[in-house]
Amino acid sequence: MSKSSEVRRAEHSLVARAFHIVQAANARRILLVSPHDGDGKSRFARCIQEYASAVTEEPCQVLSRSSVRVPLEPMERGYFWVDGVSLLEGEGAAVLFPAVRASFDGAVLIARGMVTTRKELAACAAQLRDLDMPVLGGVWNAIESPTPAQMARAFRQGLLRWPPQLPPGALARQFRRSS
Amino acid sequence: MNKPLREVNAETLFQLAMRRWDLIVLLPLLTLLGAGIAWRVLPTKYESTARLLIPEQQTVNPFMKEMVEEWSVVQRMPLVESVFLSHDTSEQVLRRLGRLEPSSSAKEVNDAVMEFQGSFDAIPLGGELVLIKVRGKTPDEAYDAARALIETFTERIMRPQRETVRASSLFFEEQLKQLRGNNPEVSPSLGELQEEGKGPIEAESNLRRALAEAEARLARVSYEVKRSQEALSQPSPGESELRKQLSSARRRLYRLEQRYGDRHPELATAKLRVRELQRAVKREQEGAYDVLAKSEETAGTAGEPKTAASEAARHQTLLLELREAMAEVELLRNQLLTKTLSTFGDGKVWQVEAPVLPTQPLGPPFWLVLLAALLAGIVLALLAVAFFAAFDDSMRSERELADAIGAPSFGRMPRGEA
Repeated sequence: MSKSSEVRRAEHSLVARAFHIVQAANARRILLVSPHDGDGKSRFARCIQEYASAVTEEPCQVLSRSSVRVPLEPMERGYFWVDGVSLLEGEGAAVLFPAVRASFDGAVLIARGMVTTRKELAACAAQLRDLDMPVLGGVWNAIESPTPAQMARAFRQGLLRWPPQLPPGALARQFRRSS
Repeated sequence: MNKPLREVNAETLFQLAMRRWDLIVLLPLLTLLGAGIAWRVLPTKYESTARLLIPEQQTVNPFMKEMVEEWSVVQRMPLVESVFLSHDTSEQVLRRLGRLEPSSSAKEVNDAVMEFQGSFDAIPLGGELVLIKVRGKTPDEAYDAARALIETFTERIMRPQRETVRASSLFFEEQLKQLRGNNPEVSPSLGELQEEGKGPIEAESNLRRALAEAEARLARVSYEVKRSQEALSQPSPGESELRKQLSSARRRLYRLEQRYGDRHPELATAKLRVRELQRAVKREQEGAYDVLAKSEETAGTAGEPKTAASEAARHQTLLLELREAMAEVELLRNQLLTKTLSTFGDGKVWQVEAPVLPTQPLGPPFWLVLLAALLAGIVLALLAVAFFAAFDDSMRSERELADAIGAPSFGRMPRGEA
């Protein structure tokens, strides 16, 4: 499914702002974290991979989740974006033992709008503070919080087909279990 | 530590509603279903309406005016309402409709009356108009109950007037009977027309015709009595002559009294003459009365010459006929009044708008009920969404995200495949 120009513009804007902030914080090795799996870390990593060359001239590499435990040396140029750790699932923040923690300059927290609770966000922020990991910023994943215009457009597209169908995820709803 | 205020704007509200779309769909559907079931299950009711005019009835009885209460609107309406709402009225209506058996117990009667009293309203419309609304499970039931209620009400409220009119009618009938017993030769009254087997309208028109004829007869007899009286009051020729002589003698006596003293012989002669003439006139009158008295025994004999005696006897007959005609007119007037009151009871005069057989069930149409149920369901769903949103701790905006993590928000990652 091809992206609309509107989505592309929004993603480009998001990536540009992210690079701007991490550059200002002088962070080169960035860890993507979220409260739970499926909150959008991988999607944000793909956005970085897609638009990085458009927003910075420095080399940029996006590493998968399996690379979390691989130590990364401090670097003068370029960026490493690592996808990432779910802080409230599985081992959680325990993955980030001191050697691993030392491999990163900061973390970006990905949260699902209208799903992730403020309590979960506060718990994640507390864990990162305990690890002395700076939180560079947060990303609002609007997968479950489309704007009214987006919702209307999705419905219209779905209804114009035959047989008519609702757009995938249009009425999807997921409630977080209590962490 | 103060809790930060939650983000509330149009987009947030939309998001909250979309996240609870199941409630927004389900609750209106449930209310629609409930309204449909209620429409099918609840008994349909029909309403029959009528408008009554209750005019003033002040002089229904010519002899018992003081017994008839002067009705004003202020006094009448509470009475009308109390008659409508009385236990007896409802019980009579139910018995008339056959909903109560003669053997029904007091409790059954009471329950039925209570139920019936809840099924109708008597609403004063101002002035002398009253609106009656009677509800029933079927159109016929509502219509029959409305008719029975109006008939019962009319009977009850007109009962005092009917009783007084009936009493005065009996009085006049008795009087007429006595008169006819004294003078059996008087022709039978037209008021005795046979009305059996005729409708109320024909009976009333007969009564009106009889009354008109009786009044004409009364007028004729009154005229004849007056003429007879005038004829009898004229003196006979001999009496007239004597009266002339008497007046001449009195004039002469007056002149002599002016001219002479009391002891003058001519004056004494004149006084004697006047006394003699007075006695003669008196004798003449007494003779005429004797003739009149004897004529009563022979009055009405055919072929009798027209003498003073026969004139007097005819006058007596006319007087009897006059009294009988007056009594007959009064009796017919009372009968007509009774008939008119019973016509009111049939509901032909008082019912400004007769009860109508309802064709549509009471209440709003089905589509309106469904529409109202749909709107109620939507409102209910929105209230439910608001209730759940009040306990929902999920992040509602980028500002809340930034506040929670203590760092800036990069922005919003839009929907769409990456």
